[in-house]
Amino acid sequence: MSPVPEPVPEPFSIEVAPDGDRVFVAPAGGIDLATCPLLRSRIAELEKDGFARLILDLREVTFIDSSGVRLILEQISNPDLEFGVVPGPAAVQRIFDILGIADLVPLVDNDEGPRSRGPSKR
Amino acid sequence: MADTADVGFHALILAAAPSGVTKTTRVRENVPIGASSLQANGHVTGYLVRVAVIAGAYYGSAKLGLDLAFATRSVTAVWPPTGIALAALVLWGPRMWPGVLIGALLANAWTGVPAITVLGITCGNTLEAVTGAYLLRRFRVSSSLEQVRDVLAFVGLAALLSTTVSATIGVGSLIVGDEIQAGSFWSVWRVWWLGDMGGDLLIATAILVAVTQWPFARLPGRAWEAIALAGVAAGLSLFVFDREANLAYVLLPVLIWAVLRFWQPGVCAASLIVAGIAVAFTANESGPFVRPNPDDSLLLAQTYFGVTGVTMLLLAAVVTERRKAEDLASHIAATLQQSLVPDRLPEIPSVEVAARYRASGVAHRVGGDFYDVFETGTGTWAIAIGDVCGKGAEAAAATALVRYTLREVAVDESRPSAVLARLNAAIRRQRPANEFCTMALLELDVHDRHADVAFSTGGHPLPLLLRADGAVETVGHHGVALGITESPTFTDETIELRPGDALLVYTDGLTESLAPARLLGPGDIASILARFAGRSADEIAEGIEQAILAAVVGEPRDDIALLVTRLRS
Repeated sequence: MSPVPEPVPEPFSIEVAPDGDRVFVAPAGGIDLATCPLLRSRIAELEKDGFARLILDLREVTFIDSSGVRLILEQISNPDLEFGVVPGPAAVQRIFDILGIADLVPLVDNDEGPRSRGPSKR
Repeated sequence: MADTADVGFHALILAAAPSGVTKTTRVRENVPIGASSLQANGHVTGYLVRVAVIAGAYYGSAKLGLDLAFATRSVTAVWPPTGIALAALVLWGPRMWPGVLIGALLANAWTGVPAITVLGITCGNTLEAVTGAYLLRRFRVSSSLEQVRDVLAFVGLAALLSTTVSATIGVGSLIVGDEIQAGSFWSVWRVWWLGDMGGDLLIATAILVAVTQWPFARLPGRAWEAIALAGVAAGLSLFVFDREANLAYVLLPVLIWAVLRFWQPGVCAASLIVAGIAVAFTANESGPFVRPNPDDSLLLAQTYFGVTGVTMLLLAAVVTERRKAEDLASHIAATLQQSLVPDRLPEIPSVEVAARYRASGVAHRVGGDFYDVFETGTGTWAIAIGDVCGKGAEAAAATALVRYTLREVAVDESRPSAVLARLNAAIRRQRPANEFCTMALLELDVHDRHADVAFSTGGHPLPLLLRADGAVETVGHHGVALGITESPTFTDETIELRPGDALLVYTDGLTESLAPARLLGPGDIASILARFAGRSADEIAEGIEQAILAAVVGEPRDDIALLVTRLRS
């Protein structure tokens, strides 16, 4: 059976910014069943490239569904990776509250990035 | 029909029938030989009728074929009787061979060749059909030609291989009867072989496909389109074969149209039209295939419609194989989807329960939402709604685990929080890491004029309580979704439902239905819910679903499940 193509409703992109042994991954758009595999394989590549610290910047994320949450849980439970999350908009953070996992997600400060990465840059 | 032929006809039947008939009776009905003469008579009559039909069709098509003989010679570009004989023996069984024998004998008896040659040709024709039918049966080739292997096997075993039998014996008989020079064996053999091959490829396929696929209800194309296709195929063929320039490739898109919209029946019909016109025009020395030597013209025309016909049949087989796989996939998806929710909700005294379930619009994708309502003890009921992360078969497997574990555990444990804890352990034990499930679980204890609801949630949107007077409140606290942490704590909360009060539980598909443009909050759902105070559970569920669907542009991106539990007023 060939996989059924998923509709990609809005543009999705992933910006990657290495900074020493850590790397910032900033997806823009919705993280859902359609876009999650892209993000997962990107993160796997970076881990293979030898980055020990990975910071997922959710500030440009408009929406995250359960498959996106699962991806984050996978990174949290990965013993080889020091993982952090830059919090996203309220709508994205809300799903962590509903799922009761807000305490589990290791939040990282906004300005810890290699440069100022406010939403105004786009 | 001449008297002698009549005599021969009966003699052959009498010689041939008994063995076949008794064999059938033995094998199919386990009746001892000759046990029922009445039944045997019925079988004999049916057998005789079929043999007669085959003989008649063979003879008729042979006369027609000879009348249309290519370039006034006694061999034709397409020898339809070969196709008719093969189709008949495939559909009705090789034991119908006397029909072919009689038809071939009648057809050849008056061609003016010596008796030895007539007998030789007749035997060759019969053996060819028997060989072809036997090989197709032996290798279990399906006559509907809906699989690539069937098309390949048909072409190889019947069209290419079995036709050598008739060509070899037939041309040999012509030499024995001094009809042709031994030196011209191969050139006549080639024409004979190709003619029989044309009969199998065009006529046998058409009959087999028509009989096995009738009434063509599954084809995507409709009648008016079939007429248009036939018209275009005929018109373009007339255009192509009316001029010298080689434009035969112009017909390929038309044939592909036939493939995509009418599958095997379309290919067979379009091939017949194209081949018929190609042969007729080429025979009259018109069209791109005309060469100084008529044999060469014939060879080119045959190669053209032979190759295009087989190519299109292969393509059609790919199309139908894919369709079959798609049908299977959607059947599995539908079956899994049905297993996520109960067939119907149980009747609870004094309580109305209404559910809505809407799978997201993506085909073949099983949703991750589920709900269940069942009795856990006398007057106590469990009402559960949940959402497994992800979609598809994996999510369905997780849902099955959760639903069936829930049914067991909810009977043992009195507190919803304890049930959730055991479900959490089951998911962690039995499912891959990081797979999780959200759930709102209500334990309903129904009394005379009120119902006590104990509930607990794990990672799930909180229940909304609609009082009879229209007040709406969110109840409970968020717990951790099931399967994420080793030993999460879930809290039990209780509320009292009074007559007319309703409790809504839902999955996040409801709040995320407008994403990414807008995420609905519990407040939005609450204000929709407030409009339905005093209405029945079913009216409330329907009202919420309609309000959400009205706001969604296109199809909801996620599954939506909701359950309304209301104490009758």
